[in-house]
Amino acid sequence: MISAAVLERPGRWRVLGLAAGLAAALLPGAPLVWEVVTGAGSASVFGGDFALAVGRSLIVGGGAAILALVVGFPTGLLAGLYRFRGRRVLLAGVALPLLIPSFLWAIGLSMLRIELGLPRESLLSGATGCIFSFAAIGVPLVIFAVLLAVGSTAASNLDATRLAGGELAVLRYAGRACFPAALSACLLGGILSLADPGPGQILGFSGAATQVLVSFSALYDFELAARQCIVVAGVVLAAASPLVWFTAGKLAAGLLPRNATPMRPARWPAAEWAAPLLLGLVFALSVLAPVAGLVQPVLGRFWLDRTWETVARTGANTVVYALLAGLVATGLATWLAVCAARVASLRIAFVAGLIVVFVLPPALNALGTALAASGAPAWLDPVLRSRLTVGAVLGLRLTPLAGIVLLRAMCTAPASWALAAAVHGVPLGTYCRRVLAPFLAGPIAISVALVALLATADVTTVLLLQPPGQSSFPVALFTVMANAPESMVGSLALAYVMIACIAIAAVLLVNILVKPLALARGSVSAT
Amino acid sequence: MTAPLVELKNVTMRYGQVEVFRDFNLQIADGCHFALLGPSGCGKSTLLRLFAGLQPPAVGEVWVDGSPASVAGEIRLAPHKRRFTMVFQDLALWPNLTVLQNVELGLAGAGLDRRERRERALSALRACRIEELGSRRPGELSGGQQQRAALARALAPQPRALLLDEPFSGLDIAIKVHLYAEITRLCREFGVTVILVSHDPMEATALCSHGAVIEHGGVREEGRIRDLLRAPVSETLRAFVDQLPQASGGNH
Repeated sequence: MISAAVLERPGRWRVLGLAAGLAAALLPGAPLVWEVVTGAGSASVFGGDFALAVGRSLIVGGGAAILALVVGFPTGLLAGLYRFRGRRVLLAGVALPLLIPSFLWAIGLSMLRIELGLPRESLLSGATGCIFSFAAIGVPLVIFAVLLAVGSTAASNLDATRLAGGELAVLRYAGRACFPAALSACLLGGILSLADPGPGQILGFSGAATQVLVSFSALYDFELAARQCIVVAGVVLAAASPLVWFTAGKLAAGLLPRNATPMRPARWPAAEWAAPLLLGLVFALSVLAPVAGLVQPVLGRFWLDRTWETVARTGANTVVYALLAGLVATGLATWLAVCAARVASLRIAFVAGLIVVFVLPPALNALGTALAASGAPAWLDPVLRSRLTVGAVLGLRLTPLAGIVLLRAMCTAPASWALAAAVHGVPLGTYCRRVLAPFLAGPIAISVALVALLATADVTTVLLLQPPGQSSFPVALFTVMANAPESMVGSLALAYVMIACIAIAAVLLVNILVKPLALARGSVSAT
Repeated sequence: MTAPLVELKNVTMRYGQVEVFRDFNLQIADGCHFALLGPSGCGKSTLLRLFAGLQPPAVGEVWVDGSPASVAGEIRLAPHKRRFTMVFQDLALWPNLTVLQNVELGLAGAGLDRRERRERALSALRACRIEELGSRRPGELSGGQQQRAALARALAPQPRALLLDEPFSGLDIAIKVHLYAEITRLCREFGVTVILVSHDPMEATALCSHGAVIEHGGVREEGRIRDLLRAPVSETLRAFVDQLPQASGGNH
């Protein structure tokens, strides 16, 4: 009988399990790295426009990160510290861009520019247009990172600060405490933009990720795409290394439960108008403006039949990819969290590994898998050339999100539960089935839902790996946008936005309904 | 002469670079109600985990019933085979299970069939006077009720020793006093050895006849608690005795 105490003891299996799990998350990209490292071809990737494209990517990434910090930090601070009317709805509204592929916002901005009669060199296109498109994702990332950081501040600390210096002192104290989280989130947003080809391609400011996609999909030069992808990965990793170095330890420590009452948003008259004003501005600029652009061409004609046909044709695939991604990411993340949760050094290694996995370009894993599939025998098709492949590769890429949720949950489970089970002779399997799994059920469901929602917005992985005729909705939109009439693109894009709105509304509804139910069952603390 | 129930022989424990104790020796006799007293961070809870087999010593041996149960870096006798149960500081009740299910699952190592487990669990709930709370989850119980539920789970397997790891912290004095009496009654009824870890000498005097004070990585003093309190040597007991009201002096 394996004792449940094994979950609480140190052991070599933890290090090996963590290393194996992180290696699994990076595995799809390995064939590509191997091919490039050992390949005979020596043509420089920096020929043509690629060096310029890398430079453009860095400009866009840096600009988006700065804009996200400048806008998201004060907004998140006010929204986290204070109560105001419509708080939940506004926060749900600004979260919408996280569920939408960035290229849709770029299409929206492009259409808005045309409708407003602005020239090609206006703020809504080129570098600034790309920065706006990516900031639409970076700003909510910063806002929610600050919200989480504020939420984990002890109520007593804030009360003591309030007594000492009033609300301005509270803002200064909370600001200092939450700034590292905001900085990490804005850097993450900037880094993610380096690997995203969409907005650059649409707004005429092609970055390195666009070049990779063009090399693979238009030029059919796999070797060049592979080399470019490795360069992008190198640039991204170089940009992310300070983030890993400075934040992994803090993030790992921040995930530990604290023996203090967490703060609750307070009332402050100034925040009652300032916070909704800021959130409203963010919502207007990041959601309403691009949506206004998407609506304009549709006013003449809404392609209902074509939209319905596309949704019907791709809907099942989109859901299958998303759910598979959710399950793969959550399964792997649960294992990683079990390995790392009880050892401080492993927690830091885990978080550092997650950041690395998250910031690598999605094309790296996708192209690596495509390379492996191209040389594999036909009987491996179900593993390497199927919908399962797409879902699994998406899931491995999004494992970091699930990892944070599950690591936090595992850290919250007291060690004494497993130790009590060991003292009473409860076998490990029984303990996991009867105690640990029910305890983790909530975080597991959240993790599956979160990854699935974000996976629906992916374009790169699905585009590169989809089996013939098994497109997802965003990829169908991405592939028709160059040749279809604007009104059709607008119709499809609006349908996507509406589906995302429904998903957000469902999450909001569950959030409103589930907490009172859980309180009534006594499964969460009333405080 | 019978072997002590549990014995530590030249045990050294470390957490990273920090040495909690070195060459530590202690014997606890079968049937004894024994208190381990000491300030926070002196390693009292670590001692209980060594007794229970939840962690091995870095150096030295832990003997149970005259046989080595744990040696340096190795647990030879699995925790549930020692027939010790434990009430943890945070009680460690499994939150998703009802009180009855908690007690039943706590009998997993007792080698009983399902019907016997149910009967034994109900009997333990009756003994702890919480029979009517069997269908509730721990989150739906008061602090005192949770203590009883944890006690029922610990007593149901009919252990040889009950290890109590500061289980009364956070309770008000009235409930504490009530629980002291209940635990004393139950342990006598079940014939269980009690090993209590506490920083509070009052708890020790209420529940135990013998005790040891752990200070500075070793046993500072050991013996009958009554005798220890009469002539305290350790800082822990002296501080406790000094703050007691003096019956013979003053204006009383």
